[in-house]
Amino acid sequence: MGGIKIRVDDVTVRYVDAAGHAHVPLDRVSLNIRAGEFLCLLGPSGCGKTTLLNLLAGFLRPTSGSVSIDGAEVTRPDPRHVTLFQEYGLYPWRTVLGNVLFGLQAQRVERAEGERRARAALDLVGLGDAARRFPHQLSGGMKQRVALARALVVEPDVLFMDEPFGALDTFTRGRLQDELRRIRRDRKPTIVFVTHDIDEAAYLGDRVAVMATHPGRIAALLDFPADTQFSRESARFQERRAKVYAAVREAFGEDEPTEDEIEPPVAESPLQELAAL
Amino acid sequence: MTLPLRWGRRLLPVSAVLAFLGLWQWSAGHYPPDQLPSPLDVAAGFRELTESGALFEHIRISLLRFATAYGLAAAVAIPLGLLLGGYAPAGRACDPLLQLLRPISPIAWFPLAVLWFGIGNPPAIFIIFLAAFFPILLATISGVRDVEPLHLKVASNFGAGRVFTFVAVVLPAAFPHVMVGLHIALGTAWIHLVAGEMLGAQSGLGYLIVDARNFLRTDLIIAGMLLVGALGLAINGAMRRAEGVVRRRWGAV
Repeated sequence: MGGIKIRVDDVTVRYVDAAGHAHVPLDRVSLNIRAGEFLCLLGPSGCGKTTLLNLLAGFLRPTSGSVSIDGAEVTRPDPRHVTLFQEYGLYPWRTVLGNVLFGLQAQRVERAEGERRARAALDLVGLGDAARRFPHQLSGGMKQRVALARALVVEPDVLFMDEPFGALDTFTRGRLQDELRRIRRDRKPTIVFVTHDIDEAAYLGDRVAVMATHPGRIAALLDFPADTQFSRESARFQERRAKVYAAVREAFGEDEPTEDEIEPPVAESPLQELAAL
Repeated sequence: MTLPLRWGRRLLPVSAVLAFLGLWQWSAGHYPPDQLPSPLDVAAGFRELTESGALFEHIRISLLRFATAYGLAAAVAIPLGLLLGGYAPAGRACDPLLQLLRPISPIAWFPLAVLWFGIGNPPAIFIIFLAAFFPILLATISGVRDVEPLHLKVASNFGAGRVFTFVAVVLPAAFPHVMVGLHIALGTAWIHLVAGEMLGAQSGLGYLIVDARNFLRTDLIIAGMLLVGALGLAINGAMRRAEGVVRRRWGAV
């Protein structure tokens, strides 16, 4: 692990809505993210995790406090830090290859060179054969792979991921989580990953920031040894899950988040049920 | 007795047309042909028109005027719509004006059309232009404004400049909307073709109808009307096919 990559210093986001109510999606959050680490922001809806990600990615400015990456204050989006969204954000009129080429064309990379890199990125996410297809011909999992290839092809040193697998079925989600781990081992980007899925955070994160609501804040920061080898069946994963779940329980006390706010740690995932046997 | 579905589907509209023709033929028996000619009279009139060859000249002139006016409308309305939709201050500035002008029927422009353009081709083209202009303009504006915020967010993330974002994101995103506008405009413009050609033009389908009225040739009036309908149907069909191609290419957005 390298030094500090992203510094979040006493950041508050406050706004007044049309009805005159004040909202504080983020209240005095400070956080240091290390170069090359995988940080999960875990919390129910309304805890400000997506707001925090938008601040890091430069889509939003804080009301007070500051965010800096590599020592430079973040004021706007930057192609060195690419965000992946739950809804993919693919361009329906472009082919898969055209979508992956988008970032390269925006940066005026020469055509032949761009195509070579785009095809390599598609191979990396296992979509080498789908280059000529259109997004509407793809499943959700394939669309997110295209978005991942489009991000990776510009060789970003930070990936921001906003519930990227949230719309996918459990099996697809599990496969993509494994691929993300593999890509991470190869490319070593810094990853900030927003999720409301405790299993996902425990499986992927070197660190897990558990966020709480009203106002949005980081309630606990769990530090695990960096490890991308353990499986979902391993005792090590069970241990991580238990720790994350305990932190979530502590953050919300008896006033536990309701069903729609946070996904329960067990159930839902067949992979989990297999692991529990 | 049941017929195969395909036959049933054809049979229904065909029998409706036959019933309509029957009713028409029966009604025509109660009126003088100058007031209501029978379908057979109209068919005879139609044959008369085709045999003289004048009909095809009228059709050619009408289509030429229509294409000119419609093309001009698209050439002005699409760039203007891109500007008003893409540049918010311009859009805000022009919005009240557009809302004021839009509900005015092209027919209401008749007196001005004649005062400004005299008679013949120009006023007809002007009227058709007006009829096509607003649907294209408004669809283009809304197409540009309705670009998915996420698509713009992605573009800004990759460091896309204003020009690249406009060309590579806004234009293609707005394109299906523009197609819808072009389709609607095709219909309204075709409807106003006849009206425009009644403004002193000496040729075209609108003139054909006016001219037939002057000679009390009711059979030719109705033949002209049916011809306008049939050509409109054909043009609309071609447009729908083009739109289908675009929709498929754009992932049915």
